[in-house]
Amino acid sequence: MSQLAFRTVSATSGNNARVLQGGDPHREGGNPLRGTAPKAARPRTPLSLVVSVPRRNRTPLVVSLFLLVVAALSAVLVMSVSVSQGQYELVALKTQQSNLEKSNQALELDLTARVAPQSLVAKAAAMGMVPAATTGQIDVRTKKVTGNPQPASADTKGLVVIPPANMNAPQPAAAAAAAPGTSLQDAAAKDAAASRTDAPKAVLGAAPAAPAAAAPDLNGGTIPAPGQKHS
Amino acid sequence: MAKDSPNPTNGALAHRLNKVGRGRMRVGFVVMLAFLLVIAGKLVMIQGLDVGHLAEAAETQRTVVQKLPAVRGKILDANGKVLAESILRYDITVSQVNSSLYPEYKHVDTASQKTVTYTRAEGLQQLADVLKLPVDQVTKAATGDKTFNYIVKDVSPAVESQVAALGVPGIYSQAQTKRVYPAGSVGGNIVGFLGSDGTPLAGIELTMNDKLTGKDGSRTYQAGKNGIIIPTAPVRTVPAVDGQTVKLTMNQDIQYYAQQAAQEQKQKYSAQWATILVIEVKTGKVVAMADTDTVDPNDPGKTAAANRGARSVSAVVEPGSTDKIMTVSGVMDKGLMNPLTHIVVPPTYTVDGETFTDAFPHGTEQRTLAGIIGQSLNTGTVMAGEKMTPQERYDNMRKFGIGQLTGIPLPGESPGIFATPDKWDVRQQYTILFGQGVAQTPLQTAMVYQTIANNGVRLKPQLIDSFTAADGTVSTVPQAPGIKVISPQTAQQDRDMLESVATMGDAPDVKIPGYRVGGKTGTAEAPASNGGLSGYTSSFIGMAPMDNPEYVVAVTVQQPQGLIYGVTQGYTFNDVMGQVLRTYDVPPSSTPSVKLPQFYK
Repeated sequence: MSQLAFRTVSATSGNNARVLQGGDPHREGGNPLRGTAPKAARPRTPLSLVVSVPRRNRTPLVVSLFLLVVAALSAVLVMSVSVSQGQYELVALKTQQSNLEKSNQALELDLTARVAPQSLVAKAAAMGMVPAATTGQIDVRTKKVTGNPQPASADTKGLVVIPPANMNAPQPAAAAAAAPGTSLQDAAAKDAAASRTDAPKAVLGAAPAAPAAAAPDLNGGTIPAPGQKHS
Repeated sequence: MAKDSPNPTNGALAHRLNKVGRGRMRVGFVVMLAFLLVIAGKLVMIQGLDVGHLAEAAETQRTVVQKLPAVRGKILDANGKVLAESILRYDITVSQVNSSLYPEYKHVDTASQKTVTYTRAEGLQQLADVLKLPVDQVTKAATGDKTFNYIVKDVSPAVESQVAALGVPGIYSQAQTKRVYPAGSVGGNIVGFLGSDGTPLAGIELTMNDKLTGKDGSRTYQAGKNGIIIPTAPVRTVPAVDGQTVKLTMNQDIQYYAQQAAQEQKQKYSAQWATILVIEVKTGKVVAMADTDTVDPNDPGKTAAANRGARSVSAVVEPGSTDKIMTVSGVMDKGLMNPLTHIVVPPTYTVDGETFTDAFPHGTEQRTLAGIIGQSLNTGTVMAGEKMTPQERYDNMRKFGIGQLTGIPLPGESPGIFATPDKWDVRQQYTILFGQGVAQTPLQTAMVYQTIANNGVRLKPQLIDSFTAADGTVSTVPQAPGIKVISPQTAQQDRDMLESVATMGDAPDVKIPGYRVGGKTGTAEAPASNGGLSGYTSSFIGMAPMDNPEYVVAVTVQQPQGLIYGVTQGYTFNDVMGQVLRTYDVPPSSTPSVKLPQFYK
């Protein structure tokens, strides 16, 4: 039934079939009941097609509602999973960050110790460098050399050596291995003994053991480098 | 089917039973309702009224307040090299009780993912290996009935993570911040140090504590039992504000060289101590302030207490002849004399019954004022200086900063000893003219020469270049306005006389090839520990280049042993000044040296 037809049918109550008339020419021969039915009997309301109100098809609605619920639930689930996943990730990243900060700190400290004057002097001395006894100046404009520069002789002695920093650090062995420029270490290894004696007491009970265990990193110098390396 | 039963008795029974059932049902219903009421009431009490503050208690249990410690600011040298910084360290601790609870424990090897069972002894052995300690010591520290004991203090984060990876039961670690001084004793006298509890005790650490100290922050969040933050709960973060970075005017390389040179002088002459100051003339910046046997701030206990500070500001010594330049400045600035004024200097000079002699015997000499400074004659200086009244002498020296604090931000600065004229005795009114009867710090004396080098304007010595806040904003410390002490002309005359000391006078060993230099020697009797005088204070203060002085270097050596007039600080001055001039690329002098005549005919 079309939509239009549905609208044109008016709703009725009770019997809406036409009442049969006796002398209906069209029905004369065809009604088998005619003969048996008494004449006086009430005329029967004939059967007719009752137009029923059509049911709407609700399947799509139910399905979409169900899908909506599933979608909402899964959205909540996904969000909650991702939020807690994010928390785990956050914790992991924080740990990573703090580890990186720690190693960065160790490397920076190592660097600052290496650029300390004591360690530079030690390195230069180990490479056979001596202080310049005399210096001169070159004036680029007049092309004149002032002063009385002489070549440095190998036996020029430097000034007294200032002891390196005593940073007390027990054994950052990992940082030492990672740091570059340890090749010169051996050259001055024999001087290590001196530094070992004045190596710091590694606080409290640790004192006697720590120094012996640490191999002082001399950075190639004749004196121990500022030493977070030895403990 | 009792209802349908035709039997009337059965029907009555059923009816009765039905009644009983209904009664029971009612009772059950009432009981359940009562339970429901109790539960609902409890619910209202907990949720609605919160009797017993359970919600609060639960929240307190979940809430974690984490302290975000502020990091103490760094101390840097003029080139940004780190002199002091705070780093993370760990103390390895043990609960002896917990340790003894696990004679055996399982450990998952992170590499192979295998579970291994270790005994307590094996675990402690592994711990000892990681800590590089003897196992007996570790076992001893871990055995007992204490709940807290240190195994070792102050290990690096790398060692701590190895310890944590071992998973030995009862072993814990505590994070600590530690102050380290990578340059050690280089500048240790300026930088200062902290006590074991973190309180500043010396140097910049003490005087700049307010700037260096940051403000701790906090983070408040709610966490489950596993320590994972509950994501939907509020997180309140008050960020920590780190301390400010203090940048000094001190140059680490020059400081190192100066300390070496000072130590060299001390050893050479078996002196009590020596100091070397390097001052930038036009700004008053302290480039180096070297002491002998300087404290290593990493371990101040190893240095004798007397050597832990900066003697340049705390030691009070008689300056001796270096003060003569103030006397002639005063006389020349008042227009009473000029460098070529003729003075007949007798072998000894007596005034007010007080006789003054010179360091070397001489006959009557026809000297210029420059010649009096050139040979550092006490007699001639008294003859020139007595042209000023005692009050004028006092005011003159006060203007140069004698007897006053310089205001340098170092603890324990001494103003020196400089009595007012009414307290001077007869002799003292003359001895102060050549630097005796007055006591100054090496820094005060150096600033006199800074004044002369800076055309007569005395600046405040500056030790701090700038502060850098945690957010990166830099605030440079402005130069305090200078004080005009003498006229530029007088300052120029002073400089000519000082240069003549090196070219014509008693300090011929003072020379730096390529540069015009000038300066003044000084020798004074040093106070002994028993209150009298014993030995000498030997000094040389000079400036370079004389055509436009940029740096003042002051060398002071206390109680050098041996014949005092063989002691010279000239070579040390040459070395240090040479190093300074080269470091700062100061152009060599292009004008001829000044050689003022020392005698007249």
